Amino acid sequence: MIAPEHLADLVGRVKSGDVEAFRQLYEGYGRKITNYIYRLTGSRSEAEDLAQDTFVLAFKKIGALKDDRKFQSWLFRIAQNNVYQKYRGKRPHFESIDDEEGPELSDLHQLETALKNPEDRVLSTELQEVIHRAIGELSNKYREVFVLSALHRLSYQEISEIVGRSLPSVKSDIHRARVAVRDKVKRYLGDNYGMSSLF
Amino acid sequence: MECRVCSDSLSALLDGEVTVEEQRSLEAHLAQCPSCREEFDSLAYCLRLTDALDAEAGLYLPPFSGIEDRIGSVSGSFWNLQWLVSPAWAALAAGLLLAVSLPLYWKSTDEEAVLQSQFTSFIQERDRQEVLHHGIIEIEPVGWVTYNPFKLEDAPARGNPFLE
Repeated sequence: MIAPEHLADLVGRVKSGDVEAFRQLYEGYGRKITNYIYRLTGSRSEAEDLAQDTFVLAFKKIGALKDDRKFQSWLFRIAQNNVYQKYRGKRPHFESIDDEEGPELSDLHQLETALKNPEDRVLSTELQEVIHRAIGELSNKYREVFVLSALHRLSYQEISEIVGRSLPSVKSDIHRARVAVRDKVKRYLGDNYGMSSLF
Repeated sequence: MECRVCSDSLSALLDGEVTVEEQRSLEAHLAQCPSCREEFDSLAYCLRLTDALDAEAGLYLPPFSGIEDRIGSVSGSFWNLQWLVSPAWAALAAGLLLAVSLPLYWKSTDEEAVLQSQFTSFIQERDRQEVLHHGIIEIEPVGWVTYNPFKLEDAPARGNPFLE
């Protein structure tokens, strides 16, 4: 995480064409942006390509950024616009879990192993997939606020600036999105939901 | 506090996005409402799961060189106009623009004066010719044009006072 005073300095330098300063910004925000795009699109390769496009566009347009401290929100917004421009109203492809009746034997075994090892803080691959797909099944409006709040832990104010909706609307959307994801994960985990040994 | 109001604010409470007063009243409600407490714990648990998920995303961050190659051509180009962002460059550009446009403005003003003078001479010469050839004495003030002298059909009928 880049400190706010250092961030303003870096952004100022990038505005005068300093590529080295931009490299530092990329190292500070590159993974976040790639992750955000990945959660919006459900595709790793797409996320990497769009993240590159986002940073190239950010470099070109950084002169338009008025408040240097809002660089992060501005960057997320560019990323989001890139995603929606790429898909142009089409829904990104996320596999659905609605048709699944439940985990297969191998997945259950994997989950059981994770549950039996409280020291092991790694979530089972299957559970990760379930959460990933639950996020993918949200509408764009809910998915973007869910990812920004639950995964990136941005403030509601920042999220409001990124998605361009009011604070009360963002607050309400975040809650609805969380309930929707929770319900799907809960349905999948059944009686295991809430077990602390998963962590 | 009603359960519905409490429920709508549980995610905001988890995210620390409530005021101190709201937090106090929400916590008071959660302490005496098992149903809302269960809902709160359930959402908190899901948040912890997604935290772990994010850590496991394992995304590959492409090397900066790929971006550097692409922005290299941008930053090296004069026509990207990024240099205009600098206030010093913007002031210099504005000064140059002024220096170029003012002489053009003055030049155009001079040209207008010359044209006006030529036009006045033309009118005077036309009036002189009319007096000489047609004996018209009631000539209009110099500089006023009431018809196009190059289109004779537009000319108003003028009688010759000596022939009438």
